[in-house]
Amino acid sequence: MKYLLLCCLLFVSSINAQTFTFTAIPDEDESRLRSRFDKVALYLTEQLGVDVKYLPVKSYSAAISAFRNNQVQLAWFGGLSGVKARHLVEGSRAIAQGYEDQFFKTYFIAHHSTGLTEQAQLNKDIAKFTFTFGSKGSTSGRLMPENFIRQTFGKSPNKVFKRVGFSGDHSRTIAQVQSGAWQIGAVNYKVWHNELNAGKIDLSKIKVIWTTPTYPDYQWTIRGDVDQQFSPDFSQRVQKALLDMSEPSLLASFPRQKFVPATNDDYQPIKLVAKAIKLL
Amino acid sequence: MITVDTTARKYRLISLFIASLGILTLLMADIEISATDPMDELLAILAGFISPDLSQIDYLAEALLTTVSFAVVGISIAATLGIFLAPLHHLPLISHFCAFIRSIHELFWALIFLQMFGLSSITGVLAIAIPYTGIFARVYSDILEQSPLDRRHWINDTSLSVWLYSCIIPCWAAIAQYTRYRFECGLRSAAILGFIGLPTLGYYLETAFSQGQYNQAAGLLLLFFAMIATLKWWLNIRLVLVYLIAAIVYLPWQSQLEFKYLVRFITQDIVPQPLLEPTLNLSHLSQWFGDLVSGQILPGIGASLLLSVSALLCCGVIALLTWPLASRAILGRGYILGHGLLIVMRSTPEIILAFVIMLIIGPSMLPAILALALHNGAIIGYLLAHRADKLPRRVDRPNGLNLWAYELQPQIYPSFISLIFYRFEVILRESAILGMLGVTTLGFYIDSAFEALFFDVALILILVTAALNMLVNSISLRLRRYLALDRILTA
Repeated sequence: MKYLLLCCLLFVSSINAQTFTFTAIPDEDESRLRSRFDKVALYLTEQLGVDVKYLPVKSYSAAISAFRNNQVQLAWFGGLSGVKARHLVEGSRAIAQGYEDQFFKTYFIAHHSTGLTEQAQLNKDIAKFTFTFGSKGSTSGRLMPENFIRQTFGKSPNKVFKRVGFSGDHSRTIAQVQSGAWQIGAVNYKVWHNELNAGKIDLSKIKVIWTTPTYPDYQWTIRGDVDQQFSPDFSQRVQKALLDMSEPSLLASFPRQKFVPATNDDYQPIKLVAKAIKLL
Repeated sequence: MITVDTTARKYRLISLFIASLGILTLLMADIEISATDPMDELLAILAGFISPDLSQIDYLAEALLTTVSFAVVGISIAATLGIFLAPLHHLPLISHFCAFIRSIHELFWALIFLQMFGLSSITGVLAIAIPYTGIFARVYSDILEQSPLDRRHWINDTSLSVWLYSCIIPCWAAIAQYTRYRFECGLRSAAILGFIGLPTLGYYLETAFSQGQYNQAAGLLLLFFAMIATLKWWLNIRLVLVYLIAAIVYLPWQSQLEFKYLVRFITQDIVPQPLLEPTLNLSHLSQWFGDLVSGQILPGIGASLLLSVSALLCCGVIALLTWPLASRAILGRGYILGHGLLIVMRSTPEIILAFVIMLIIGPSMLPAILALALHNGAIIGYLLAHRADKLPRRVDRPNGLNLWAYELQPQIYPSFISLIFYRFEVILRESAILGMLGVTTLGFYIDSAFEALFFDVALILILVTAALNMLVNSISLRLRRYLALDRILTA
């Protein structure tokens, strides 16, 4: 009976509590993700005056589903996942992006045994080798590199390369190309620099052979109905809180130097590519 | 003149059949080994195991408790439903239903429920309870069929107490033993659910592994091995009810999802998109479906079968090689070491085995084949050793190599073949989750569809996987009948 009461209490409290929940795609350094983002939640609680919680997710699609089902009202998406989420949730808007996301890029990296060197154009010789993307839903690890491969070769990656795989994420792409398991890989440039600084990359074994043109990437997207759910100017206040975030330890979670305003239209290029590749 | 075949002719035939099919698929499969230089990465992994570290993992206690709770609640529900379905399992409708629900991997059940209930305890518990119900119903019915009592006796009198006392109680020991073994599998499943975001051990294991933090990955794996190895001390059958109540109280049950999203998932998301267009366009529909068949379903079925049959042969070889290492009858006290080895092999998630093997031999179907073979071979090896040690001891029996070759191995060979047949179903199901190697099994396409949020495509592919599994299941049932193996208890 006690438990039944407890369950009822839990249930009732879950309906009454007006908690603002956010999530972030698991893309950058995942270690201690929860404790780091709990700090961001604390910051937002102070700024917004409502209870803010962070919901950890394991995949891009889980982040989109949570956003679509109103389990979270705010999300730190990649370019592609943001476009998809906004496509599925009417009225949702991109409100802020990282400063670096205005001109994001992907590195093509190669194991030293390929003999490839860095060039200004995508070297057509890469077709002889095996190739790995990152996660299937990633913008920098899948969508944009696939786009540039299609532009260069005029066909889909699995017809270009000897073998194509999906390592799962950027860190694994680096580890697997470095070990020679895959000969070439496409990786988020920020993750590459993080791992380089952390001493995880041996430049005698693996190097960057091509840098893609820039494209817009990560952004904060908010649901359109938060103003009714919380308060009339709520989305504006969330945007301000994000743009005002200056504490380096908070920004390091993303990792970005600061956030700048963004709109849905900024991501039109991503949307077009996603449609062309049939990922939307 | 009546001739009785007392030779092992049928077993030779069936072994030859499995071996030649396995060799044929190995020849057809893509098993290229490419030169890599994995030493740095392997040394890092080794260093991780030398100094495992759990201090960097937040919420470790929560992960541990959630893993156990999912397993306890999920397995309890499945065992209860299984017991009630078992006496009805001879009805084709029930047996097909059970084959269907167990042919879908728990990760895919979880991905489906994720859309309906979000990242909640309901998702985790149902993802375990549903496939295991199908498994329990089948195996319990196998056990009941071998009950010494006449079945007509209790079918005519349908009262619960007659059923309970004449049917369940005499088989209780076998049922309890099998349920305990399945609880171990349930723990493994619960841990793996973390890979898609439920807060179990797998959540942190996946993170640590993909980030190359091998000290943490090793810490978590060792913790998991210890949990499985000590199972017999902490899983007391009399405490099950206590555990169950504790788990139900511990897990947070409120679902954050509104009912309308559940309705949307069922009425829109999983319906093939061309059917949702305002006017039904048949040519559009047939093109959509045709693309799916030629682009994903057929290549997916091909790759899944190639992978599974090759893995089955390797799995059989590994099982035959490893079971003596864990047999007390053969090795005496030394069996503890082999026992430990088999725990490590069967408790390491296949996806991690495949990752490490791929570092060494490069990407192809081979790491997936070996990962499946090592994992399932270890499970069969463990069960065979257990069975061999239970055989009656003859006074004049030989020892050492002779005991293995002339006494035990021939006696457990029927069990071996029977287990191999059953495991094929499992391997086929598990081949689904090794898509990360770029091996384009049906599971690879299912994963891609979920990742792209094409739930209609995902559902069709899951149904195809289930149909393939059920087909394989019915073929293996026929072969088992041919061998009269259905009298040998499977596990």
